[in-house]
Amino acid sequence: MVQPNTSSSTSAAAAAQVEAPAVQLEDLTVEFVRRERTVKAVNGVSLTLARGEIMTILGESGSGKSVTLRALMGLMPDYARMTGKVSVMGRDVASMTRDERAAIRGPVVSMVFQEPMTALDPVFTIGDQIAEIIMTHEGIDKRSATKRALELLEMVSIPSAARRLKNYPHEMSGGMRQRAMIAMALACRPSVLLADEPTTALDVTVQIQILLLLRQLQAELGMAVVFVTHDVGVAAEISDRISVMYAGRLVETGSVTEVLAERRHPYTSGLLSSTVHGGMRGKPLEMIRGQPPNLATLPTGCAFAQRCDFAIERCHKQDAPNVELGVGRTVRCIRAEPDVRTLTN
Amino acid sequence: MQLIVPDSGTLVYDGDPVGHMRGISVSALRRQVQMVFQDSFASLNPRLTIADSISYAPRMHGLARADAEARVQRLLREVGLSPTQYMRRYPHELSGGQRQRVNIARALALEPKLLILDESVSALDKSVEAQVLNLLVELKEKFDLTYLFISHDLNVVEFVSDHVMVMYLGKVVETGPVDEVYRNARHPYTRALLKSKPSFDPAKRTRELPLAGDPPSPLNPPSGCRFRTRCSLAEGVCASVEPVLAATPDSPPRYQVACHMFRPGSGHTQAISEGV
Repeated sequence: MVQPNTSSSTSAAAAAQVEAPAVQLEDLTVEFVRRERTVKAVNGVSLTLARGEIMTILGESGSGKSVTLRALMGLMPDYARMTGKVSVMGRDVASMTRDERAAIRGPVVSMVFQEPMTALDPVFTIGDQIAEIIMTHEGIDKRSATKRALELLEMVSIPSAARRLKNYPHEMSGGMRQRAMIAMALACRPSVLLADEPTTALDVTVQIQILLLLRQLQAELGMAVVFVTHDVGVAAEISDRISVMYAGRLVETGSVTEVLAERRHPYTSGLLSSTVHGGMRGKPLEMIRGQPPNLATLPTGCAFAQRCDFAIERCHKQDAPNVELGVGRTVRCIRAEPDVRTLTN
Repeated sequence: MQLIVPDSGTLVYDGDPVGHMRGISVSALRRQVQMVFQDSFASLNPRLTIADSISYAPRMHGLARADAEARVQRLLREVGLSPTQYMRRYPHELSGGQRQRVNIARALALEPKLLILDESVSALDKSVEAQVLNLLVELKEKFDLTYLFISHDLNVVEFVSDHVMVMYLGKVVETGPVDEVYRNARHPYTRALLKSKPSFDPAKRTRELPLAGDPPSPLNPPSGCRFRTRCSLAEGVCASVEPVLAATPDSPPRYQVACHMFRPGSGHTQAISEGV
């Protein structure tokens, strides 16, 4: 199986390629610079996603989760200023040219969006849209590309797929459109699939269908998935690991059980206990007071401090430390530090 | 609210038919029934200050300027916003949660008896949703209000409601006290809906598909029972006869379901028998 070494340097590079995690972010920051203000959307995000793993970025609107996802795709507007390292399957996305980025979209990384109706082109049939991607990236003729498109629609369990190839997006229901969109994202067999709230616009009964489909496809194809959602229930259904995001930072990362059952960050606790679920009738909901900070005028110190019941003076003055509690388990809070008592005051 | 005029049927409010000679006029109805919409930004006039938006209806109904002003201050305090800080602001200067509080204050300005809350918390972030839900529960007690709460969020519905009505393609499929519907759902659609709810426990993930397919188009709904095309228990009778919404022999008061399986002698092979 092992190829004889022709040159030690290329085999080392090849080994690095094989070993490279699916996604690696190191101290990613993204600012949107407009004349009147600068919005700090992402403020130093580091994360590693192993191949074949499903990670959910859980956060509320404006937490920077979708911007982080777009950075992985190299989808940034001209007025965005990005620093830090973004690597997908060992390739550095940040230093790529426009054409190089376009070339990795599809075979290396691809994305499923929240609203399939706006993400799909209304004037082309589903079959033509999927075939076009395959033709562009693999240079095969339309007949074979259409055949592949049919297989893809069957793979995402669209009934009477052959007939559906000829449908325009508006002729399909929301659930079918989202399946078509997943088929399209998988057309070039990506190693990393990014999913930005793909079930938020769907009915509950359809939402669970799409989640089960994504889980099944992930297991079959072995791809890594970064899933973005604001819904704790959806995160619990889909993820291997969860990262909780607040004001452009990851505040807590761990396995799905660690984050949901052994949460350490006060924001994670607040988010979980303010999310209504069964059996809470008649009791007032626990809630996080106030609202998320304005990303154009971020406070100094921990961004959650002004809403946090446990905040002490230090929290308002300096950034919270990112405490590593184990492999792939981090909490950005002084309360997670081993010797918290010496820190109070 | 009579924002859409119904094709047929009557609307009875507190015993009075709406828009009838011997009933209650639409304008009188709107004084007692107010509404809070989903989109907090679209439902406020962007050119009116918060104070003007809230006092608009009371002023229209003849309240003096000074009294209206006092009412605005009182209402803002009730919904947890400081009057001095917010009265003169415009909607775009507020966050989504604050705007929804303003919408609630405006809905309460005419001292209504019934509030229609149409997905009023659906667009809010979870941490803000909890704040607004707590506020709604508190205001309901304080002003002795009745809520008609419209939502697709099963957890929120269970949290706020006393009584639940489950709809599918324009028809009521099941209705009853919240505990009965959530613990002892009879209609196959309600059961599938409750099973589709994501579990918050990763150890109890959904393994089987609760319900296949998408809802059919309301332009051309299926014959008989509208749910039969997605129902695993559907039989011939479900396509030919539309099930009526009625109590079952063993159901508690104020409970009704529209399914042939719960109608003795309906012709469905799994129909319950009279004695149960």
